[in-house]
Amino acid sequence: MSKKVLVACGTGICTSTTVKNKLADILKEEGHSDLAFDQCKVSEVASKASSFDLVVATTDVPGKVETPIVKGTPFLTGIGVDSTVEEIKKHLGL
Amino acid sequence: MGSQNFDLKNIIRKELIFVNKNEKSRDTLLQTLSTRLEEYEYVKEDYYDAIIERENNFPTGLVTKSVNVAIPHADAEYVNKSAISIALLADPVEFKRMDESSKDVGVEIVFMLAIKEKENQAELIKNLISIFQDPVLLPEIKNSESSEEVEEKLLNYLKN
Repeated sequence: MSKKVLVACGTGICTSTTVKNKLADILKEEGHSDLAFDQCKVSEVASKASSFDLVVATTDVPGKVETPIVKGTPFLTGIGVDSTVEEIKKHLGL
Repeated sequence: MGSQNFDLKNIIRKELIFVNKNEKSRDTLLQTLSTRLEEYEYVKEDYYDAIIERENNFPTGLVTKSVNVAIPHADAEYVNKSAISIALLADPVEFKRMDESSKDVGVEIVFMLAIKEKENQAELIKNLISIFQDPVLLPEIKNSESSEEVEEKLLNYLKN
């Protein structure tokens, strides 16, 4: 069963789309293309996260969330991308 | 870069670019940029309030490898037509960080985004992000001496 990643940002449109695309491209290049991505506003994460294996958010996430959360800002700034990708892969078991 | 659905020349124009700006506070800076966008009818009257509210809840300060930036933006419902207003700051202005909202970052370039069509957002932000990650271009823009210079540099970069 493919792993599911929820990408979130403040508005649910701007930075989350970019982060989702960047992450999907990086993982695909490494041969991991069997992944499902979805996007939402950070305020929706608490209610949606349980159906996902990982949350990647560009902002702090409010509320109680059991699903692991990784910060997505490195994909915007270029700082710490490699370690973030490693962390993401670890959570997804890749 | 792929096909452009919207004309970059209308999104980035010298009339919306401030250089060597001296603003002490984040809010007066955001007001200046919002007002300019409103004057040129890119955004509605309540755009500024939406910007402040969004910035307070989900700050947009980013630490890059070269020049720290912020990308304040609000929902499309407050926008008439897409545009970017830019301010090059003489002294850094403190914004909260996007990734850690309790922390501050001294921002030197603000890119205020007014985006109407959601479909174009991804491409535009992707372009901005490659600018933020370019160790040469961002400092070059920061050192520009006129709005025309900033406009030219950005349009040249984005065209390629």
